[in-house]
Amino acid sequence: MAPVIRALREHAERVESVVCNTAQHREMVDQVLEIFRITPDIDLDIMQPGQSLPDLTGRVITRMTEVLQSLRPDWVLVQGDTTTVFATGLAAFYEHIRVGHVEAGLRTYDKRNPFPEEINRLLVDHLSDRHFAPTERNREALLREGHTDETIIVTGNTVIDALLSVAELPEPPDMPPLDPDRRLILVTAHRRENHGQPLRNICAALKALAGRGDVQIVYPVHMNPNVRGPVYELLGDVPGVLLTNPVDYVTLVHLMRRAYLILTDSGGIQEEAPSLGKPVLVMRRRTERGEAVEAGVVKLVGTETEAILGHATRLLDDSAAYRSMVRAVNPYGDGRAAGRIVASLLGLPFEEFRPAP
Amino acid sequence: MLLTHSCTAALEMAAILTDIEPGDEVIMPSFTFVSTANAFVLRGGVPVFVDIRPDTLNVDETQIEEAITPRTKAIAIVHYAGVGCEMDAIMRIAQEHNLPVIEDAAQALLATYRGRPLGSIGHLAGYSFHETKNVVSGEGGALLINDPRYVDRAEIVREKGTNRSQFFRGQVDKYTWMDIGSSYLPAELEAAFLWAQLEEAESITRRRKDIWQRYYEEFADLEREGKARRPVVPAECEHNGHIFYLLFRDLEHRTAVQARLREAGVQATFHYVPLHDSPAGKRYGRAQRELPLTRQMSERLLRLPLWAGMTDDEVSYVIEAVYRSA
Repeated sequence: MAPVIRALREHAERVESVVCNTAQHREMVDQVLEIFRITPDIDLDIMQPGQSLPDLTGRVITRMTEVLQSLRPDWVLVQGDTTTVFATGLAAFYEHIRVGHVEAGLRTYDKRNPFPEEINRLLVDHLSDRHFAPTERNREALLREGHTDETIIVTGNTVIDALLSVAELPEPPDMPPLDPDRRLILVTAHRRENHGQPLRNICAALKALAGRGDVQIVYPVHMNPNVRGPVYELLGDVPGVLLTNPVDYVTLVHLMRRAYLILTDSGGIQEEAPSLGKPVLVMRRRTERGEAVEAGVVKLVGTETEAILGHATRLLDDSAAYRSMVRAVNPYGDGRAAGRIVASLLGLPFEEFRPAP
Repeated sequence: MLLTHSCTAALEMAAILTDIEPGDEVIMPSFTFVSTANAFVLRGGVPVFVDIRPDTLNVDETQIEEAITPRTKAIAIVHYAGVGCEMDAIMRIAQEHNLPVIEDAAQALLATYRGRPLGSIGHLAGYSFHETKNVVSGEGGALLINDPRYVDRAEIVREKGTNRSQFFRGQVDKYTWMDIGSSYLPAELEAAFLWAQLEEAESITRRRKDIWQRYYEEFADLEREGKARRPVVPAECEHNGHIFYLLFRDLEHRTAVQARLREAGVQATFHYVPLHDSPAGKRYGRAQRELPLTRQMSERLLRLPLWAGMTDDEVSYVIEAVYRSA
């Protein structure tokens, strides 16, 4: 949402925007607010220790209704699929205030996975008057559910807007020490489904890659002991492997920018790295990011040591193979999603997002 | 170092010295002045354009390696606005592939990378003393030769392909045509003018950096409001106050700001039109891949007035005008 808030502020002469933070995920939100220098106008600070979903849902509806009644906005924008988003949408609907959903149309079609997000986004899309769908695929999902085309706008994902603006910031002073004499391989791997043998396989592949001597592997390691234990055990003293604590978003973006190649099991990185022109090898058996695989900028390699090593080696040694993966075409966005959302709300001309073929 | 009549001339000499032949590829940014490319195209070389970094707008060193083919003959890099490229990484790639690096240091006099002067790191480099630069002689430039294997031949290339320099030193009894070359020498009057400028080079640079710093500090709020972004100078680089630019949201925003500044009597200028999008760039070069940042930055960038003789009041006037226009 941060790029949308910024884009709204750029049109301050036409629109008054009020930022309301429910702080359902306090630490994550505060980090983003800091990076984008956004001070919420209203902070509901709604989270209570050990609260249940019904508690949270109820409290957001009650508190948000008070806010909406006093402000009477023309539009309420919500982004994503948290319980806050659903409850806010519902409160706005009860108040007859129009709702715009940013990141509309994402589906797994498994109502318990992710829980409760799949249902949150399904419900909020039904409450919404305008759907800002990141991709064509999301538009199709909405059409299939009976939403009309006039309510859907394909914008690209705002996360790409955020990524590109962070990539323009100076490198943070606490960047891990990088060796300019060696190509950088950035690794992130901590998914639950990879805990156990898959993670050990990944570590074995990384150890073999480091053995080449011409690469530096930087791996920010998740605090979860199921990740930290095996990773430090297998890679702790391997020359050419730099293990770090988890890094903040600005550092991560700069590491991605500096990287020659990215190995990951994270979903977000699969969406983001193509915008920085970096090939991504996904160490999972399946991915929800089918568009990126189809576009050829992301490759699914699984979690077998030999497969990871083979694909990575090819990208390191075969420049034609490397070039074929780095077309800098991102099916998820072009960095202009926020501009489209704001233009749509203000009735200004714009073109929908269409990734180059 | 050999004085030339321009940085263009120095780069043309570099193309001759690196034996660029028809079909040879030279990797370079597209976000640069035409001379970076022309110098090699004149020898039949093919510019292979790579994208720039989002922070410094210099060539993205992580994209150089993939652009290397068996036909690659050299890497030409540009220190935009006197801010150094990531030279350690670039020199590592060059060494691995046995390629010479030519620094287009036209804007980079007295700027450094990890304490080393820009122009002294690559195999060859060009400085400019054109009237638009920090230190000027009307037209003017210099070729810096950091690799001894080019020294003897450089002297001949610069003297129309003759060994006239050796003749003047009494090393040969008559001079003759030895190699290809052209008239790349400056006139003595230019050199004399340059001498006086070089004596003031440090004070000129200091004053420019003061103005740059004032812009930088005063525009912190503009950046905080999300209206424009200021230049980024990496910790390993010391700049020389050559250019202060702001990056606006998009072409439309920049055009509007520029027009409003013009009305306020402030001349703010955009910079390069990407070479890969130009008619000659399309004819003579090729882009390694899409260059989204090159295009985007070229559309968003606006340079603010900056010269050593600018008064504090003039700087204040520009700052106020930008705040009113952005």
